[in-house]
Amino acid sequence: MEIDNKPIALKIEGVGVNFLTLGRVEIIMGFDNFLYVVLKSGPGKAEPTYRGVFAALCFPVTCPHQYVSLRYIDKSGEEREIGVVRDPSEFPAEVRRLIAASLANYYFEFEISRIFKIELRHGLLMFDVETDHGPRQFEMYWRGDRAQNYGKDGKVLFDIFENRYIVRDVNKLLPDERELFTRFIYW
Amino acid sequence: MKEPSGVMPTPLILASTDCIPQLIRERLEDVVLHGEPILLAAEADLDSFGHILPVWLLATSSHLVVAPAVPEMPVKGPYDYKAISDFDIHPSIGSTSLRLFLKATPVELVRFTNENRERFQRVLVQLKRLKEGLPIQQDALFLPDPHFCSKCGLILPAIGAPCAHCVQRKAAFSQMFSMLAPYRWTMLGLFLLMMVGIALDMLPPRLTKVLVDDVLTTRQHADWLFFLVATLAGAALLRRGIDIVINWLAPKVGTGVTNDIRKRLFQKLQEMSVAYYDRVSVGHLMSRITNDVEVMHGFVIQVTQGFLVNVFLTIAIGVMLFSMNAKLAILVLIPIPFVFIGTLFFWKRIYPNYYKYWDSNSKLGSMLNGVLSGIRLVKVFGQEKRETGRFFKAADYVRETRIKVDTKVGIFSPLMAYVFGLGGLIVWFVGGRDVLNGTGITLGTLMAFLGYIAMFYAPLGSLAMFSNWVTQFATASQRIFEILDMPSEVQDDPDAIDCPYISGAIEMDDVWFGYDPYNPVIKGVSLKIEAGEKIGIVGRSGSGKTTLVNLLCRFYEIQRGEIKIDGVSIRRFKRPEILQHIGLVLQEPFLFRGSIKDNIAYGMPDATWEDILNASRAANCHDFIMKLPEGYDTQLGERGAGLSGGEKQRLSIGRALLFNPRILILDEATSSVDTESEQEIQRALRIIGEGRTVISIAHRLSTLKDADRIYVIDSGRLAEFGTHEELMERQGVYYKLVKIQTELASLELD
Repeated sequence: MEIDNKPIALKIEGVGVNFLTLGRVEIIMGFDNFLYVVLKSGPGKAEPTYRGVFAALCFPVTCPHQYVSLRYIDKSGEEREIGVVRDPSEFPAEVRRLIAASLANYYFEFEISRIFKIELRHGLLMFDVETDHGPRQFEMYWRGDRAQNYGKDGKVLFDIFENRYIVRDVNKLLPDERELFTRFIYW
Repeated sequence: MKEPSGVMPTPLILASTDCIPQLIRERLEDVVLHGEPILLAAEADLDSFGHILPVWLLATSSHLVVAPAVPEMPVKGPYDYKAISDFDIHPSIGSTSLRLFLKATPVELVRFTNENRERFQRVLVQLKRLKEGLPIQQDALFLPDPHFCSKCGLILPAIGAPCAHCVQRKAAFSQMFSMLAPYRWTMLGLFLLMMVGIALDMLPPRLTKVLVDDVLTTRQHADWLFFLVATLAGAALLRRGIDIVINWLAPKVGTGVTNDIRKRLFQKLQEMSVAYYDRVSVGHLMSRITNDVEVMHGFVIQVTQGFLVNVFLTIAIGVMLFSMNAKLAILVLIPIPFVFIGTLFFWKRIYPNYYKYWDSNSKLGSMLNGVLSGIRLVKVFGQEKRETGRFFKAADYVRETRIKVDTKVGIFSPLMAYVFGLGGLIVWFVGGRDVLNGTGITLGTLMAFLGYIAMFYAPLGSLAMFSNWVTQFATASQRIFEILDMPSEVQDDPDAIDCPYISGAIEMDDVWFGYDPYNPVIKGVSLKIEAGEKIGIVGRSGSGKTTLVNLLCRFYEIQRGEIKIDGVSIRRFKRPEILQHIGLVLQEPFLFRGSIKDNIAYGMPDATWEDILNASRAANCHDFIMKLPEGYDTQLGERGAGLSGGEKQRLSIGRALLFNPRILILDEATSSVDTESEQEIQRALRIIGEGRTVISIAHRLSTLKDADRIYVIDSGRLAEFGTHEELMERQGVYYKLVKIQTELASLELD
């Protein structure tokens, strides 16, 4: 008997991700910053509609511009996925704007561009930084779980209130600021 | 930045409408609020799209309105409370929203950064009151936030924990010295011996002076030669003898203190709640109990043997130098400021490196613990190479951090030695010139002076390097006392009572709980279980079933509502006392390395042989144990290695039974065993459940058919309850779950 040693394709039809392509989905503005989504099922078939839909990124760090999951809360309060938009750039500008607005509604982060001061006091790191939302001072516990990897060379810091501060690429900080940053956030 | 920072932000909830900005007042003029006064005003700091700008939430007795402080953005509302079904706090990634629900549709009212969560949590409570037609509780709005120190405003490690800023001065050192108290007599003995030792150290240079000036140079007292040399030999012998006694006594104190710390640490870790272990990695804790405590040992040895000796030696030699020649003595002091500057520099630059080293070391331990615990998984997936690579990388990092520390210390020490050496050279030059000129100093005095300098700089050098020891101590003690000072989240009331007997009646009344307090996973659950009832709890994965029993066991403290056993709040009972009456069987049975007998008797080490046999028999594990060559004395490997899943589970049921609890909780106790084992376990449970309150959490609903009542939990809420038949008739969530399982079962049969 001949043995077929080719790799076996993973059969995911019906159980894998429902990828939403341009012809298969209609995304329009819904109520209170939510999206209204209609799935196109083909002529003569019922078209499921979803209200209160919001967008979330599947890979917010490693692939922040693609793989957008469209989600909603069902009647029982469970969060469910309608499907995943592989690449919003394949959609018209208005849909891209709606997805971007929904993402902005779901995520909020401070992106650090400059680090002016870091002081260690009472087990807390006191940061004085410039962010995309302006200058900011914040405090975080000096603990491993409070600064995590963000992509290949970045870090995400969590302050004492769980606000998120992103250093997208530590290597791109100015040399003095990088030295200061890695003196404390070295892991 | 102000001192201290990390403070609670100024409250932005206003009791008076006078403080509302003019722009917002103007915007409100366009909004119909029926002329009602504003009862509550709160400022949020984000708009819906994540731009930082002030947005005001304003509430009257019947309406709500949201007004951004920029004219271009529309006012939201007014919303009539009658149309609102509920409010909630909704966390998203990096920010939070306060929402209202129009029927089931959520509407975001305001969005804010997370530092505002506590204050909007309070606003939420008041909005719910307004909706109910109740007056606002001003006191509740303006109560100080317990997460912050009431004195200085610094964030606390946990509610009720000591403030790092307020207790810092007396923190590590005073705590350490208080731990030395039991050894005070030994330490006094050490101190006296050291004083005698220092006095003996002062003798040789003095005798050298006499030897040079009176015996060798002038030959005035040539006959003193033997006597002086013999005295020097005697003093040296006595000094070494004292050293031996000190070296024998000092480690007794050092090891004693570190042993005490290690025991206190372990005791404290036993007291910590489950929530603490959710946050902290076991590897880190292991490192603290082993490595950090060892550093403390080194420090204690330094304090008892090194530091004190050096301080007194420096003082004694200083007195000697000044008494011999004040001019030369002042020259000796020249390098001292450099020593202190160097020490300060050392503190500033090396401290983070030390922390880096200790942290990388503990991470290595943590990683090792993780990999070795999951070694089967590593092997099954063939990830040995990858894990080895990860370990090598972590080990290299430890090495690098250590090299950095050692290199910096290695540079610092010779530089300091050179600075000290300069002091000696100055004395040689100035003193030597005076001897040659015959002005005020003899050769013997100069020799004695140089002898004292050699002794003077050595302890000073050690004192400078003492900062090295202090740094290590400060780092290690910070990590140790962080645990010792941490209050357990679950603490008994001072007047908590014993409960030698309970009947097993349980009541939950409007119980709310969230691992993140702002994101509840149990939402207002109320239920009543009579003593001796058999209860089932069902629901989807993540619906909150296990959390509910965790709360009953008081592994976590509820945030709102009440849990009662026999009509008394569980907060009123001493926690270990109540746990005496609860037997818990988990999905993943945890068995320790040791004999089967010891594992069964884990909760009751005094159990008799007969008790152990009866419990095992009842749990249906007796027969398989007896088939083992060494029966109950069979030694099990780590986590019960050597037994099948069903066998381990039955053993853990036996262990719970031996405990003879009034309340038996089975959390998915049979979900990971095969059908045959499950049947055996279920049969055992039916027998042993007699007379006890039994709460079973189960995915396989068929196992709960005989339950007196089944509670269905859905998204943290109690969706419905009743007997199997009643719930099937109702055709709600339970009916759907049963239907899905029936379909799955028929698929399996096909």
